[in-house]
Amino acid sequence: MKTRFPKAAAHGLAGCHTCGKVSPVSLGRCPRCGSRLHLRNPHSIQTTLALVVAATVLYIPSHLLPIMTVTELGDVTHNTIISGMLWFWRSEAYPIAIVIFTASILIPLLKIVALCWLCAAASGLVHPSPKALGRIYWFTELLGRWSMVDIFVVGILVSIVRLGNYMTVIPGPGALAFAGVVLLTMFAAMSFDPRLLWDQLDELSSTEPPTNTPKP
Amino acid sequence: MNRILARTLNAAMSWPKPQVHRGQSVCHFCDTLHEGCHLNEGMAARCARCGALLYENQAGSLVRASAFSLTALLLMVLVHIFPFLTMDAATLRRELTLFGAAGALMKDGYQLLGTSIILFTFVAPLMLAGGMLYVCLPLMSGRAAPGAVFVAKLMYRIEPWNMVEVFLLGVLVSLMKLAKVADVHFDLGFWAFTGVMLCTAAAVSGIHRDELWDRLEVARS
Amino acid sequence: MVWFVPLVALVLGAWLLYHNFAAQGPVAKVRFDTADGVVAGKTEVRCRSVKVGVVKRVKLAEDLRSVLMHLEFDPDAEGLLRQGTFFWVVKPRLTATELSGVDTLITGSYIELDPGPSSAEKCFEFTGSEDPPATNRNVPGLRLTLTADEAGFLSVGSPMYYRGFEVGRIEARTLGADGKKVSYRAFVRKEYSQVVTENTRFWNTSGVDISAGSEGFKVRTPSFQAMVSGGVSFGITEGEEPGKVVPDETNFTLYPDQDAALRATFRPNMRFLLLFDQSVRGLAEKATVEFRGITIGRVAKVSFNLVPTGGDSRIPVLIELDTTKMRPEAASKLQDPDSDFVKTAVNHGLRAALKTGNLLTGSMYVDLDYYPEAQTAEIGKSGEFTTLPTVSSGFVQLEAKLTAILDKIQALPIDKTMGDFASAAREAKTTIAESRKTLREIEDTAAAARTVIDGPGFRGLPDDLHRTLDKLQNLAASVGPDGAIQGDLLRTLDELRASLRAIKSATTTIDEKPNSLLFGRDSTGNPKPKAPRGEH
Repeated sequence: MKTRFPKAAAHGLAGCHTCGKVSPVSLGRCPRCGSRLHLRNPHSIQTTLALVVAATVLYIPSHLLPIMTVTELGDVTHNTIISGMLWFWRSEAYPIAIVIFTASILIPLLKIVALCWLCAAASGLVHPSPKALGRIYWFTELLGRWSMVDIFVVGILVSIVRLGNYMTVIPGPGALAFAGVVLLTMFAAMSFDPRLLWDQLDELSSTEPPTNTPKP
Repeated sequence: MNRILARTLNAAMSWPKPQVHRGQSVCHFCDTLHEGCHLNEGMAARCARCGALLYENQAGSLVRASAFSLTALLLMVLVHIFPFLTMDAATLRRELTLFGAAGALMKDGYQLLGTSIILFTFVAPLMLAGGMLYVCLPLMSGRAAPGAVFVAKLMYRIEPWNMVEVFLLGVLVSLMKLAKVADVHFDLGFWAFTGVMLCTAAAVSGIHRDELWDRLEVARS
Repeated sequence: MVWFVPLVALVLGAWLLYHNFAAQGPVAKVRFDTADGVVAGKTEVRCRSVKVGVVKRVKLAEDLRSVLMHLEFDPDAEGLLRQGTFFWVVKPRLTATELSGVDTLITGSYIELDPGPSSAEKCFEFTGSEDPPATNRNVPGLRLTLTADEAGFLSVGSPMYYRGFEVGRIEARTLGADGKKVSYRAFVRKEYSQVVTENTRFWNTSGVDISAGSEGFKVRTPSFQAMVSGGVSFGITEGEEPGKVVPDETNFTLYPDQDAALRATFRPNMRFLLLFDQSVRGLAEKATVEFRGITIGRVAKVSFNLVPTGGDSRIPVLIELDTTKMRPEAASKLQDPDSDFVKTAVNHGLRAALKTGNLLTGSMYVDLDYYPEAQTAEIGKSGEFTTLPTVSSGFVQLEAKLTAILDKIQALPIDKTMGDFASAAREAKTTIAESRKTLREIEDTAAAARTVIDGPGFRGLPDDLHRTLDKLQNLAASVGPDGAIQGDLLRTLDELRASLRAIKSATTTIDEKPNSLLFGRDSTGNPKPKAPRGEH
């Protein structure tokens, strides 16, 4: 089985992260683009986990603190992400409410969970199927950025709703926290090396450890 | 004139392989080593183990990349001249622009958020489209622009941070929220930005990363 | 090929840019005093409340004293920018004459424009004002200029009245270039424009009009609004022809009050100089000149400059007479340079005098009258003016009279009278002394008489008197009705009566028959009516 799927790492080769060129890792840097060559991302799981924990810590205040404050003729309303979503739901703008819910509540949460799970799988704690893993990883990478919708909405409303005493919107600290959550999860996903997953799979399915495979 | 055109077309159409190294590819998902093979136009190579796309030879990739990135750049000019949304409320008129949104956040003390908006919706697509054009256009005649490697590296680094489409969704959501309060309508900036989003996506997907780098390597040598 | 895509984008972009920028309307530069309430990019420019543009830029002018605004207009508003277009800022305004623009508290101020006449040429630089024009240029009506000596209580927006109706307003107020006169721009609505003619007079009806002149006090109050914000009334004085209707921009004088306006109908055409040898304090310019109570002129000037030479301590007063106020024949004679009407009049005693019109204020007027007992005087010439002789009057005359009285009193032979009084008093004294003496004698006599009465002899006197009285009484009684004498008298009277009766019948018979004296009574036997006998 192993011979059918030779690992580049086994041969001391690494594909450049930026340009894809296959070169011996001993070169240190890719001859084509100059980026660093790694067999695996250094300290991948640790970095990822650290970032995920940080994101989780910020997740709670991002939903508790208001992301924007609306002052309407002297009446001050603090909006959190959830209250904003509920406002859309009550205003019968159901699709928008669903979008907000998915983007701001569901996706970050799922991303955190997924990354944790991926880290666990990479560490050998859990053993899901690779296909599933692949799909989950693709999902976290792709959809992560969409959570920024709420931040953009806040920015837009703050800049546009400046109607003096009639109605004014100012941003709240929740926006900062939430932006932190999104960025951290994005960094976390980027620092996670999916090749580790396949390593685990190989470890499981093989009796002897592959040579020249540096331990993560 | 004809010879230059023919040469350009020839260079654009086929995928030149670097002479030095053996054409090897590594799957970036599962790290399986593959022997590179020559691809004809329209063919794609997938990983034997996990099925992920290794590389593909798209028809007219360079052309597509160049054309769309140029369009994206042109549309970006329009984006910043015309506003996204115009809101009329109680004879007050407010217009939304990209820099207006970022500036408002920065003025209210949220400099980080303001800067990140600028980064994700202005800097990223600009560098992406600009870089793509800068690299791909000379490559069409087999030449490498000066510093193309650096530009290409930067371009691909910044690619995940391009959030144009997310911003557009944000505009839509804001519109929904404001529609009750005031008379809001889309302006030219919004449509131009949609164009930027589509064109950037088309430009990036127009040429595969490996192909671009291969061509670049060949052009530099 | 796919290169169409950028090509299309380029074309589209270029077209959009062109359409947006080139199709922009004109830009006008307007200078204002302040940018109060104006926000660049937001404040609208409106014409008749329709948005025609927006303020694009606000910046301080180079001289730092005004503000320059760049106003960007819609393309179809090009025709509004002409010479004479007026710009002003609409803000909330609350003054005595106006409450407007309150909606701008919510929406924010905007700039309103009033386009100039369509015949005017295009213009792109203007000076705007903070206040609106009092009347929209397009409202039809008559626009006049009123000139006054003092601003008084009139302000922009003050109403104009004609016979109590409000027919217009004051639009603007400026101080004349020489700083001496105030000019007002007045607007009269079209319906009433026909009323304003050449001979119309305008006067100020602001506030409460209290005047104290030689006729006494007068208090006049106009409408409340005129009291608060001032007002102007106009009309034709009685007896005057209205004249032709006046066109726009005609100039009129604004009189301080109605009396002044009425006086203005005065058209002097003869002047005389009067020299008064007394104080002219209280004589104001424009004081009346009367002839026996009829106003025939007014005082034009009181000044030493009127006489050419000095050394004369008399005060020169120049009067103007309006001959139309006099009797026609007198007027024509006066104006005839050859006639010596004035000379004759002066010879007859025509003099000018200063009289007090109002004791309270001490204001004076000139009175022309005939003074038969006046000293002879002649008309003279002083410089270019003819002088009339004057007499002192008023208080001065009173003074003179008092002096005369005092002189008379002085002239009285008081000493002699006093002397006579003294002698009379002396005589009276002696008389009194003698009277006293007489009284004493009477007293003595009375005392003596009393002693006599009290004496014994006197006591018996009453009894004697009694007896005498009784006798008298008897005598009276006998004479009275019951007395004997009376009885005798009565008998005698009866006899007399009887005799008289007999005579009477005789005479009656004689009357009836005059011949009975001769022939006796007829006794023929025919019954003859007889006069009734003795009706006693």
